[in-house]
Amino acid sequence: MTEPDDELRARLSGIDPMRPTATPEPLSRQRAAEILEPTMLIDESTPDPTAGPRRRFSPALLAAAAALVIVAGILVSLSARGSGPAGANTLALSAPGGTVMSSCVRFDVAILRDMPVAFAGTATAVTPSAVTLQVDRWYTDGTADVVSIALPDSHSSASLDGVDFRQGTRYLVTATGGVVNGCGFSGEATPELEAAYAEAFPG
Amino acid sequence: MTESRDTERRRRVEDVVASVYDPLERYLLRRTDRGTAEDVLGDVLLVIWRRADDIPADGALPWCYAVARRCLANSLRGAQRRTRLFTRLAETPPPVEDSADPDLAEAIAALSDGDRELLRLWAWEQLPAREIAQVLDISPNAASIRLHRATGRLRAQLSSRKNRDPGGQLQGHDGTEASR
Repeated sequence: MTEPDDELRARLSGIDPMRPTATPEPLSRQRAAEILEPTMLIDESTPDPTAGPRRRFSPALLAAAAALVIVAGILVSLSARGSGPAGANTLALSAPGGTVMSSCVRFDVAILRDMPVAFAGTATAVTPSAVTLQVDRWYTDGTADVVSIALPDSHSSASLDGVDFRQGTRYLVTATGGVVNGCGFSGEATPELEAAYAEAFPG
Repeated sequence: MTESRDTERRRRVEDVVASVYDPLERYLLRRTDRGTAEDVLGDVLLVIWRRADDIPADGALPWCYAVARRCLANSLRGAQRRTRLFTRLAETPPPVEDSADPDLAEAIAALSDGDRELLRLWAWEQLPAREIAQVLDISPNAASIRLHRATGRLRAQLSSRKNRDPGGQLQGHDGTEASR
């Protein structure tokens, strides 16, 4: 009487607009390199007065950049703690503008641990220009009950590495220098990310 | 040293892109129009490049689908904003090849967005429950349960349509196919 799963699956495949559903062959590396070329050009065109337009990213450079960002973030965070920038109870942050171009450092609890702003909160309002989060836990010593994240006009779907803010969903967020971090350091509060935050910020 | 690490990273990303590009493109074209799909695919490639070190070696495709899912949701929100500001752009309902099986197309349309997406990932992307879990950021157990419920609800929808149309062209008076 009831269709077995295999039959139902096959029937559903029949209305797949991308039929046939046969697994496509992997592309050649050459083709993959061609596809990636525009991405590389975006990446390597990062404005940087100390480097040429075809700059490549070295791990040492990335580490130094990450350290600088973290230090800057700590300074901003320290100044922000004294007086709430957007009201007594609200912390104002922003998402990165435009297309974020530099490569990410590998997600690492040791880096997470040094983030100056880290909290958990539920999105209570999501508009095209801002996300409002009701904070339920500060991992760092923040005090704001509400965090507002401004989304610049040039905000790209990739700019936080695809963090998708939805009303009613809980997120774990870090920021440095007043800017929310992508690269896996902010995102929906999955058990994995929550475990990483708990490890980075014990107690 | 640095050059060789960069080269190694780039080759690793090329390998990932070689294996996921076509499935990702199909994933997006199943859910939106070609222009949006191309834009989002570019964003996903950027995330793949940026987060190359975080891509799991044994689960690159579900990881990339998860990125595509979030980028697409972001992009559609941006499109909604532009629609409000200017003029109504061509809406992009999920394309369904409904002429092949109108009953099924109708039954699918009657389900929730969440059920529909589970069933698409299962039947169109051909993912097992544990990979559906990765794409949707839920536990494998939750994915199995939700998939089971979604197939149950789809069957209920199909069944109610069958009962509603006992005199259909392909069905006899008792609801069985006339050819049997």
